[in-house]
Amino acid sequence: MAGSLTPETLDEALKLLGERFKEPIDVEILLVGGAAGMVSGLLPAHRTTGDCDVMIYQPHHVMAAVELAADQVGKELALPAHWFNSKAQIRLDSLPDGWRDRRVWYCTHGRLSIFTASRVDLIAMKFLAHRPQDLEDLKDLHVRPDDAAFVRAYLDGLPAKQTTASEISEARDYLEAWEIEP
Amino acid sequence: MIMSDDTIGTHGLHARWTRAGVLFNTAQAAQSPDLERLLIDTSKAARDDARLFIMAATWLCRYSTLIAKHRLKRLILDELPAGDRAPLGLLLDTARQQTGEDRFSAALAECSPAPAAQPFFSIERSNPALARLAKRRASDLSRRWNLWMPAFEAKYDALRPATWIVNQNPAYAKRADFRGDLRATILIELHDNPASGESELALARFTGTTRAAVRDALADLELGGHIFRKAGQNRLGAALVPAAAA
Repeated sequence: MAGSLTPETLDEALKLLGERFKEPIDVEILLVGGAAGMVSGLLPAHRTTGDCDVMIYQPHHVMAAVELAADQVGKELALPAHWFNSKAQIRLDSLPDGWRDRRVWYCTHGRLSIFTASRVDLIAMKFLAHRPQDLEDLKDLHVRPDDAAFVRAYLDGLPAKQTTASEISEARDYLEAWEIEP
Repeated sequence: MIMSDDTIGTHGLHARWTRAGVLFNTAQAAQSPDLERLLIDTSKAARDDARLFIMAATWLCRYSTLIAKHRLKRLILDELPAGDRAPLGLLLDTARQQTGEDRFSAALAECSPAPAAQPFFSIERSNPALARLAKRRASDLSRRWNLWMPAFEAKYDALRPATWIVNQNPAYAKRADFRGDLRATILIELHDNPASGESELALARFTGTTRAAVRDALADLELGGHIFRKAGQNRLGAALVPAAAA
């Protein structure tokens, strides 16, 4: 059946993406958002929507070449348009410092290595977003005391990254309201 | 014309919406969903799944003309207890506000706000501190329905294009042709419930409209070759083939 980005379809698409990407350079890619939660098994797949949000390309200059290959793969597998997109990069400020040391390797195909943001990084970003759907995800992520401490430190560091004060303040309110699991 | 899908549970709802064109990351339902029933089932389950509500509202903003309005109203009256209609009201009102189109006024007239103001989503109801935050961030529209939720942007990039939807669900094409008006409801009713074709009066009863309105709609449908009258009878039937070939 054409097109839904189930975990199985995504695996097939990423494998094909590795084959279609022809640049002679090793590339690391960081997924965030629902796709990261889905492939890492942290969030139920059926509840997430749409696409792979890419926050980081390393090196950055290969982004266009990877996206071009992704377009080709999307057509071959009848995936949704923009199944592999870089829109998340406009919120680069929301990615916690030290993410690279915590990222989780997911797969390597050809010259492409795909990583997902770690559980605690996803938790931090979901507190910052604090939409109802993020709160539902946080419930599934079972926030513990050490996670809460991490998020507090993360929020303390956000003013230096130009995140708006109101967004940070609201995120703090949600963190303090949250029932932390033992 | 429209296959019924009795799949239950939120996972089943996601599969049905996926078939209808929402990009949930799940396999799509085997059959074309009954769209009006899908809206009603979604309204019952959405408090436990914010993405489900947001994607249903987004879909409704873009594809509202696929909904058979009269049938939706009748299903509300027949199947949704009066005290449980606020979530559907919020869903339809959200589409009205975001599109500026007043397609569902008759259905909305049958929906009332929740009896007491509270967060819409269960995740915020379960915790008094979260409930206070939900109240603080609630949109004006959600306050009118006594179901607090923040304003949100429709997520159009998580919808399939119309061509994909009709390709996967060919029966939706006639809904689109008739922009969800009474003719669409009549065709669905004649197909799903042959007893409704016994007479114009029966059809008026099953569609929740007047005999005069049914007669006008039937005239259009006959002219277009969508229905035919069986010889010597008043009985109507959905034209599965053009009337001339029937």
